[in-house]
Amino acid sequence: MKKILNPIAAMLLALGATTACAQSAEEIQKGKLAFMRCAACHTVEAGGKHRVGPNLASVVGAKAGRHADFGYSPAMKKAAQDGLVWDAVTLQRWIARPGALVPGTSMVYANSLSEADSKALVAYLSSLGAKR
Amino acid sequence: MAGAAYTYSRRHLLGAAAATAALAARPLWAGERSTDVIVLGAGLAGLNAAMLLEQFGLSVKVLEARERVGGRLYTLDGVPGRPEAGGNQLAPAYARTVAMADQLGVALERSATSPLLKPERMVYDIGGRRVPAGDWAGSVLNPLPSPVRALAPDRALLRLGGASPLSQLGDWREVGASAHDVPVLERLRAQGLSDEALRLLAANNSYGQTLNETALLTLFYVQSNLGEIMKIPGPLQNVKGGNQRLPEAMAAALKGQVLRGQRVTAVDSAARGVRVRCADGSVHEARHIVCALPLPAMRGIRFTPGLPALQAEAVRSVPYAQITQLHLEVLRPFWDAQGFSPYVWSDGPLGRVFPQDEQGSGQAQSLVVWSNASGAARWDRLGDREAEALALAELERIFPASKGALRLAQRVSWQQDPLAGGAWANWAPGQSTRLAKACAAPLGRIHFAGEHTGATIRGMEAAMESGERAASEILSTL
Repeated sequence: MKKILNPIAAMLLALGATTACAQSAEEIQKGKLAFMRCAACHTVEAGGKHRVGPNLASVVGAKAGRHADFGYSPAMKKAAQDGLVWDAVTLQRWIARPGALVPGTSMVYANSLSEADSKALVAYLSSLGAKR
Repeated sequence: MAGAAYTYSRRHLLGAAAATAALAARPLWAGERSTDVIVLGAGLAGLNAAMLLEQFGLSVKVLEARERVGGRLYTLDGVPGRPEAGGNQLAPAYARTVAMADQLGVALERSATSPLLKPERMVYDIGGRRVPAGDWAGSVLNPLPSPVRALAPDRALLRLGGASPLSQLGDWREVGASAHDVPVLERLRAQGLSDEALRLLAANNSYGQTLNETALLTLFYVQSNLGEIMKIPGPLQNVKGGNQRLPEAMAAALKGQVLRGQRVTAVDSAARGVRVRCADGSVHEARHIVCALPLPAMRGIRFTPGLPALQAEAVRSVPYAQITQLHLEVLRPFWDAQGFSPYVWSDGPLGRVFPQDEQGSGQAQSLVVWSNASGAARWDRLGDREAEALALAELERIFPASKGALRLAQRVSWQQDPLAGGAWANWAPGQSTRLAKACAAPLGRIHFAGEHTGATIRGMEAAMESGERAASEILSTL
C-alpha cells in the first residue's frame, strides 16, 4: 500500500530537503539489512571491537584511519594522510569499489548491492552517529 | 489484494519477527503449510544463508542429500589424526568463517607447523629418479627456466603466468579481464619452455585438467587471492577436532530443520513460491530457495522454467578440480628425525605426498597421496586393493624403509562423488568472465550460492560470502 505523505514531509520535499527523506526510518532499516554484507568484518556499536575491519561507530564525517588501535593498510594510512574523510559521497564510492578510492586497500569486498541498497547502507551508517 | 497475503511487506519483517512468523504460517499452496526459504545443500554456503535468514526472522528448512553436513568441509574422522579431505586451513582474512566459529563458540586452533614439511626435507621423484630438495635447482632433471628453478613445478606455474594485473580481487569475473581469460599454455609456449618443462608444470596442476584447459586468469586470481590473504596478519588456523565441526555446529544452531538424505531432483517455480521435489518422493515448498550446490550437483536437478542459457551452460560444462586422495595410515615411522621426510613431489602416479602431522610433533599418523587432474583419474580407475598396492610400491621405491609401514585407511575422490563433482570450480579459459556472474544471478525466487558464486577470497570464505549474498538478496526483496 502506498504511503500518503504527510503535509510536513511534502513541504520538506518541496523545499528540496532530501536528507530528511533519505534518512527515513524505513531507509535506515533497509540499510541495516544491507549491513549484513559488512557485519562479519565490522562492528558498529560505540567502542565495539575491531575485527578484520575497524569499528564503524560514528564513521560518517570522521577522518579515515582514525583508530590508533587498528592495523590499517599502508594504502589506507596514506589516504588518511592525504585527508580522506568519510562522508556520504566517499562512502558510496568506497562501497562501490574500495580499490578505486584507495588503491592497495586490504578491504576485500565486491559490491553486489543495488544502488538503492548502497545508499540505504550509508543512511544506516549515518544514523549510528546521529543516535549518539 | 488477494496476492498481498503472500507478499511480505517490509513492515512485517522490520516490525517484528513475530509478524513474519505469523505470515509464514499461512498456506502457500492449498493444504500446505509453508516455509519462507528452503536451502539446498548444507555446506558452508547454504548454512550461512540459513543462519542469516533466521536471524532476520524467516523460517528456513535445509535439504541435504548426504547423511553428513559440511559438503566440501570433510574431516576424515575414521583416519588416525583426523586429516581434512576438504577445506583445510583458515586464514585470518577468512573473516566470515572465523566470525561464525567465534559466534558459535567453535574453538579454532593455530595450525601446526610440522618439521616434516620443511622444504629442505622434501624429495623430488622425477622420471623414477630421486632428487633431494636441496639439489633440485641444480639438477639435470629440472627443466624449469632460471627464475623458477628452485620451485616445485606447481608453484612455478603460478609464477610463470606473470604478475597478476587484477587491481581488485573480484575482477576475475569481469568482462574487462577477458584478455587474460586464455589458456596458460599460450603464455608458456611464448616463453619458449621445453616439452619436458610443460610436462612437469602440468603434472600436479590444481587449476585445470591440462595447461590448455587452465585459464591464465585463474592463475592471476589465485595469486591475487594469496596476496590479499597475506595483507591480514595472523596465524593459519583449523577448527579444533576437525573443520567439519564448524558446519555441524551451524546446522545444530538452526531453529529450522536440516533434513539429510534429501536429494533434490526438481525445482518448479511459480509466481508465489517454489516447489522442490526429492528423489524419495517428498515435496517441499517455500517462498524462496537458495540453491547452494556445486555446479555438477545441479546436473541432477530439473529446473522449471529452465535455467537461463549462460547458467545452463555453466552447469553443463564448467570443469571442477579433479582431486583423489589416498590416506595412508602410518603403522611405523620409517623416516629419520632429521633427513628426508615422506614429503614428495612426483611426476609419477604418487603426484604429491604430504605427511599429516596435525600436532607438529614430527610424528605423522598418516600420509596423504594427493593427485590432481589426469593423475587423479588414474587412481579412480583402480580398485582399493590395486590402488593401495600401487601407492605402497611407489613409496617403497622412494623410501625402501616404508615396506610394511603403511596401509590404506581411506580413499577420497571428489570427482567420483556426484554431489560434489570435483573439489572446486576450475573455470576453463573464457568461462569465468562469461559465465561466473551469471551463475550468481537470482532467477525469480531462486537464489544461488556456493563457492563458485563467491566473488573475492577463494574456498571456504567464498562459500560463506555467497551464502551471505544470497540471504541479503532475499531480505532486500521483502
